[in-house]
Amino acid sequence: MFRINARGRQPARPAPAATPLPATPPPAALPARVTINALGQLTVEQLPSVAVPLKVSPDQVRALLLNGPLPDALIVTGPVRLRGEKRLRELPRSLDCTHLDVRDCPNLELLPEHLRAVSVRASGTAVREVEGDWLVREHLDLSNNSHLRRLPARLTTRSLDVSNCAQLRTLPASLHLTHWLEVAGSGLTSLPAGLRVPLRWQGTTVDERTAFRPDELRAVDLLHVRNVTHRRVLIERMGLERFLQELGGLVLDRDRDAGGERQLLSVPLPDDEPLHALRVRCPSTNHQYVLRVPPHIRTCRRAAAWLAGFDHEADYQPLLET
Amino acid sequence: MTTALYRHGDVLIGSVAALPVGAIPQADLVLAHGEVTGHRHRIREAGAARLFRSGSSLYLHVTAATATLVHEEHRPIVLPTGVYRVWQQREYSPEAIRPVLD
Repeated sequence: MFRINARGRQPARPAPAATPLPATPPPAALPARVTINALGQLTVEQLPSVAVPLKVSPDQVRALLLNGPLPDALIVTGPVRLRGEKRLRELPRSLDCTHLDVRDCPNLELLPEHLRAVSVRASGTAVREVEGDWLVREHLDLSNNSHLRRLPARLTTRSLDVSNCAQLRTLPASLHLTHWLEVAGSGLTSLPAGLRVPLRWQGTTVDERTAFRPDELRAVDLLHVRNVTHRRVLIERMGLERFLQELGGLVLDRDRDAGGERQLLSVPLPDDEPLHALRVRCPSTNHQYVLRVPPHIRTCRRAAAWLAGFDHEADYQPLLET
Repeated sequence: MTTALYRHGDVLIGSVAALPVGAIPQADLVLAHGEVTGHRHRIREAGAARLFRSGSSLYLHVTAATATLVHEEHRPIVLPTGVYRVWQQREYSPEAIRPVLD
């Protein structure tokens, strides 16, 4: 299969710094995989040799990884911090360290195939595929890798962030994840069978329906969600237009505040008082919020004053809203 | 009735004449925590202000010439010297009127 990012397609990787194999090793010394094909024939496939890892301190690792030669296997006795390093194009095939920070390395294409770390922050790189065996004891941040299509087949971590990895459509079947998975803006449409882990959307805990099947969300249900941040995520997932369309209510009033246009909506509810809500936009984040107000309120100004704790709109005249 | 009013997301800050008698100083300068996101409305400059609690009300005393109210998402607000009451937006439901949860 053609793989854009397979290491085999890279131009010659610098020879391992550590002990090379002897010139004429006995055949049995090379690792090999023996298989029997459908015709009963024996085939022997030689596997890549494993170099003796080079062990360095955190002080040494920057020069080593940026200036080379790149070792095949590397143990760092502390963190690897290379955030924003434009010269970084690849990491060793095998890497063992405490914390790996390669955020915003725009030319980094190759991550280790064998990785052991406490935490990994690798957002905003040029990585397309990650293969092999990764054990990250705490958090693994692979967000904002817009070309990322594949995660390691064997991946164990506590929490994983793949937000804004739009090309990532599936997760490895054997993914082992214990705490949470951030999926906002990823290409994921489901979880692997058998994986049960709390999902997050922009930091807010959501269920699978919100994350993967937002077309099943219903507007009236959303207005009963108490937490406004949670509700904002739900409304964003549902789509504001559909949300307002489903409400089927009247626009009682509209005007402008620091965030732009705001609307006072009224939604009749069966066997209940009408639902009145002010739709506003945050002037800092541009997020839209729908906040419920008492049903006797008829204007946006009055609604905004009520939300701020004032019963008379003349009392609510903020100097600044951000 | 407050004379100067600011809104920082769902947190409101309004100037008042003085601290209530017996207001209890607080250890930090965090006006409000985001329950879901963990984001905080807080004063950036240590030593520029102090927080006080009186009953269920929160007060901010800006002692320096200015103190900056910051948050991970909202633009900063520079508050001049003075005493302010701090409260959160409320939201209506048929069952109860509640503070907005961020």
